Amino acid sequence: MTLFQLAVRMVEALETEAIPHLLTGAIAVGVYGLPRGTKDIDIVVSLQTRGLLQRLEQRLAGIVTFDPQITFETLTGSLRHIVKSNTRPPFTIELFELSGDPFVQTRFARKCRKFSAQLGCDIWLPTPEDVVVQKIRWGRSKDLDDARDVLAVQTLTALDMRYIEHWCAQHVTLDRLHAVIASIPADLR
Amino acid sequence: MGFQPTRLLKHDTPKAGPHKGPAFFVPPPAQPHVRLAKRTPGGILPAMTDWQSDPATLRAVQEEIYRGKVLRARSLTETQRLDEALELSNGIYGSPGSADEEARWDEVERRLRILRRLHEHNLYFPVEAA
Repeated sequence: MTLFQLAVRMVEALETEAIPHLLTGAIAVGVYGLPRGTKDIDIVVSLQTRGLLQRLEQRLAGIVTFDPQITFETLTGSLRHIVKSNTRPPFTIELFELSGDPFVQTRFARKCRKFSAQLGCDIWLPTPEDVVVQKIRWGRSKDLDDARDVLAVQTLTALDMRYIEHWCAQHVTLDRLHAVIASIPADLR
Repeated sequence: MGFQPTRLLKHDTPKAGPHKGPAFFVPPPAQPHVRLAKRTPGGILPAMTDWQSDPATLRAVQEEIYRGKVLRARSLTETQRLDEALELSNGIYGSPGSADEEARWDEVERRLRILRRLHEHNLYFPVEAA
């Protein structure tokens, strides 16, 4: 089993349980920016009831183990569930519960479906604009690199920069956005 | 002295037992008159030896490499980029169920073969110092 066969099992389980979800992190950056490898998968899930998570856990029993410790992500207020594969070495899927944060809600509502030949199924992804806003908001060095890559590959003229600037203004990260844009070679913007 | 291709040394008796150590890229002996350069659409990039002492040159080289990556990514479809990201992740990390160390070293070798093909296709090649 590969990391992404594991991802397929998770996505299939989410679809079967009718849990709305969204793949973020390196997968989304790979689609819109520069493809890069990853060793874990981040998924935002909209859980209407706590029971859905238990059903998901039962459906994937034997394949993964859900960490009983739930963590809290301070930036957006999301609850995070760590899911580890029962393989050696274990691989990680992080399930982030959809929070009430306005941007997180908007990003989720704008999600779009893409087909992956490797996975052999459709997956739900954020829009490229939302990837940029989220990465700028996180603001770690690797996040800013990811934001730069998406901006450079997609180009400023193709992206909805008004939308990006609107949310960066809300998050008080406009300076960060402008610094990232300035770091892109002029002919690639 | 001509350019000596990088050699991969693997455990010399891989079937005889567990590995005693990791596989390494063993760089060729120091050859101050032979340096790697990168062929780009705009020509050959400056020799590497000055990179660390000349920030402007370093910056130009970094931008050129980045430009190549971006232009290549733009030439792919979203599906192709997604599948490439998955393929990249499936490499060394991709066999969580395998405890077979030999299989992991085979994967390392596979990746090094890809690197050698890059050299063979003239993406990187030795040049004489000016």
